[in-house]
Amino acid sequence: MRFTRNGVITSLLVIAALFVGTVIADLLPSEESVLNAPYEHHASIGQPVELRTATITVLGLRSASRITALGNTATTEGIWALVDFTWKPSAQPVSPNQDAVHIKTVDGRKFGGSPPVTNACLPTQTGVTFACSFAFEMDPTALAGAKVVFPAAGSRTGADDVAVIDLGIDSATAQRLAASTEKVLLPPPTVKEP
Amino acid sequence: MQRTSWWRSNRIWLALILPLLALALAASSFRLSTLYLRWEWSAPVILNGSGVFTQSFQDAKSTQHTRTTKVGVTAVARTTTLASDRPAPGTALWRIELDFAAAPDQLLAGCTIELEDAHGVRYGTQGAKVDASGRPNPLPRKPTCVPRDAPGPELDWAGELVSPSVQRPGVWKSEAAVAMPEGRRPVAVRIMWDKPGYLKLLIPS
Repeated sequence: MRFTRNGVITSLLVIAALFVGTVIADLLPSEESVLNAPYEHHASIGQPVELRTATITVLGLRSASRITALGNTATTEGIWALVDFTWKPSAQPVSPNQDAVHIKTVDGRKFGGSPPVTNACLPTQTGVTFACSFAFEMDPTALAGAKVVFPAAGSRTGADDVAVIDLGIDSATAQRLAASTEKVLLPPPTVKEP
Repeated sequence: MQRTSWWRSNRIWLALILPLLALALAASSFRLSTLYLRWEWSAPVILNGSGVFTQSFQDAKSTQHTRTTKVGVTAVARTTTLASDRPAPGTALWRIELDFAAAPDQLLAGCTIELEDAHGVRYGTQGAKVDASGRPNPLPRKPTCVPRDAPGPELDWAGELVSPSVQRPGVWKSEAAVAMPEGRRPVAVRIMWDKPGYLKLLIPS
């Protein structure tokens, strides 16, 4: 094999181009990650978030050791975190999907799913604000820094409008919430007078 | 000179590059909307007050059916109460009266009735209702498009036809109530059975 000057330069240029191309391809997001990424709206307690299907405002967080709704009661070895919020559908009478709403903690865990005692935020009406409460069974040590995530109603995948609300729980608040021995009756969804 | 000769000898194919690329992209593509629109309420049949509605649909066993009915809006007016339903604070109750005429073998049970305003916003029959003491009504009575005591033939969850014990009359009335936010007016009544088609009756002024 003969090494010519042009041949060596060409080989080095090809290797450099492959290297640069690989680096760029690694840095760019994959098609799947872009298509499946949620469109997040970040807010705090009291701030309304206009999602694709409704406007949601998280009013606050309470905690309880026992919750009751529709005649059913549930206790826990952890803590019940109760998120109070308002929900106003914008174009059709939809409700938040309680199975999809969850609390995500600082360490990346998610708490949610169908609770054993449920008080769904329905039925709703377009243009009317409803006050609702969802209960999440949680690890009391995971409360600090937690955020509640509300997907737009009717979302089939995570790739949709999503409200991420910072619950504003510092260490002292987390300790107080974790120590709660309250027994709470979950209220049915009620219309908030305009 | 040799370069010019190459460009000249390939000029036709060079001119066809862009059109052929467009055709190749079109040939390997599809209209995404044909996939998802059939799962939405995307095909309204709009009638002025009344008319005949015909719809083809599939049951759970993928058997094709057709339903035909004549529907008319006889009244859409504000009211204070309907049965045990009252409007929640900040809302107004609108009563809807519909006339139906259909052959007794038509599958008309299981519809959803809604009101629509001038902006296309939909209002359902279930939300924002309270009882006489002002308590929220979590399970308001769902209106039907068929007589409650003689609904006619129905399909069960498995797609099996359930024959009625009592024959449905040829004509009947249905009633519904929608609690709409104050200040909003309905312009149409939506009657929905199976996606994507639905009936939109414009309310006579």
